[in-house]
Amino acid sequence: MVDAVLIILVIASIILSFAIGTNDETFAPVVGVKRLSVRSAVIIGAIVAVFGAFLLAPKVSDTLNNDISTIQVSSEIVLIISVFISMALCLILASIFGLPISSTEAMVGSILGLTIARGEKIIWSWEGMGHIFFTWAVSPLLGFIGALLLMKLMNKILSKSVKGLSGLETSNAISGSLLLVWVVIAGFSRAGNDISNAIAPIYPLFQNSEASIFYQRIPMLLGGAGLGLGLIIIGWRVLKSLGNDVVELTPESAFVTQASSALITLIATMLGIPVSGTMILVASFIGAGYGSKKPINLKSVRTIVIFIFLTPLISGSFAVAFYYLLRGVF
Amino acid sequence: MFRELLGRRMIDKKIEKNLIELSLIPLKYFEALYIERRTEISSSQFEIYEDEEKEKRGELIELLKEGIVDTKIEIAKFELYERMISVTSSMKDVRLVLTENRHEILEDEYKELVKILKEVSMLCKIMYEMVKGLYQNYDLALNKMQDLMETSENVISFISKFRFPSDEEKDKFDIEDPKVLISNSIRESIQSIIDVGEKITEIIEEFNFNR
Repeated sequence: MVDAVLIILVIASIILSFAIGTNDETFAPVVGVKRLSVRSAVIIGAIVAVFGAFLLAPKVSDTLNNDISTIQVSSEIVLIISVFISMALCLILASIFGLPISSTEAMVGSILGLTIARGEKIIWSWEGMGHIFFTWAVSPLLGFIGALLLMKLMNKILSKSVKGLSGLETSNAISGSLLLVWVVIAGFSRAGNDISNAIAPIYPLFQNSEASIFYQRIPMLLGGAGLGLGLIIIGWRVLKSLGNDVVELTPESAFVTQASSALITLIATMLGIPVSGTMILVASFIGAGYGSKKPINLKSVRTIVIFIFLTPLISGSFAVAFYYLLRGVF
Repeated sequence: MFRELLGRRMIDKKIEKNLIELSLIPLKYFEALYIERRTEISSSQFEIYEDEEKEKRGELIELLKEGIVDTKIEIAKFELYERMISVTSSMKDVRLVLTENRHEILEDEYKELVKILKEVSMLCKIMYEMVKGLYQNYDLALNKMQDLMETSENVISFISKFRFPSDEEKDKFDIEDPKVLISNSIRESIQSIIDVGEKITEIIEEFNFNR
């Protein structure tokens, strides 16, 4: 029975890693400015994901301990699997339609759904749902304003320094290359962080002080491989849609998108303001596009916004459905 | 993928060099044509210029095809290239029509048309400076566009006596008349030069951070 549980947990972890990979929009700006083709972006993204996950060895010990309700996800295998499968399904479905969604939102939705279904208590205070709501409200706003201001500053500098097409192409080449380096670093660290939740249940099972480091890091390797595969098989849809459909990017505005979202995340973290990486990135796209006076595809933006609101509801419903289905099995 | 990772700056530099060199060919060609027609001494320079134009066209098409060419800037450069090819095609037509109709036209009229070639070469010089300006200084290119429009207006008024027939006036003029044929081909050359200038203006408006 223990082996069967282990196998199920490993499979669930890999599926969730795969799902996170399908919705990884890190390389979208590089695709948007045609610095890399979608094919090259997903291949490089997958390689970066495997190395990032394996080498950065995330701190997984604290994950899955939620502070938004009294439910203890890690206490029951059915709860873990229900949360994982509902998150994965949500992310994969969104990716098939090319929609970038927040995996944090999917997780929160799943946990809340299960909390309500089991009659447990939701913590509405700042320590619980309060800061989550604050995050969801403040992240897009910060992303938009930050990218807009940075884009205006960038335009001011470029309008003084770029005199002709030759200068513009040099600026494009520099911005494009910096952007590429930036997204590789972001992909590296994101792979390390994003798989934390996915591998949390299996991570302790591989921690044996007598085993080699490679053995101890097998969960990260599995998570990284799943993330990479997700990016290659379905993730290109999100890269294509966010990179090409939302707003027309230039290498400069794409660089601003990445730089401002990283800067805002860093400042917010230093100030202790919780923020969502996906929401900031999507809002930065729109802010940089607006700042560079490029037309914004409002239809795509509207769809993304609708799904920001729907994600917790859908993942919560999925989690409850899976919970009652799986309870009969375990 | 390796090429993608390295970027396109080297390719862009080569495209810039070739586009500027291609834009210089009509100037050299019309200068040579003017001298040839004025002195009535045939020149072998034209073959050299035509070979050079063919070589530049080939190189540019290969360079423009390399890597990812569907960015707006690449499309704009390709459209500029196409317009420049119209200039080089029309310059060859002018020479051909002049040669074919040399003895079908009155001497004085022929001399007047030859004089216009000098003016057209001036337009080609402005076009060349505009292409250089596009790459090095947008303001300079935009100023040159004004010069181009003014100079072309003068040249067109100069050839008006040979009339480029409009649809309404076609009954008044014989389009098979050699002087009309020559003036029409010169007019087409001028139009293609103006088209290059307009494309350059469009590119500057699109990619200028000061807009």
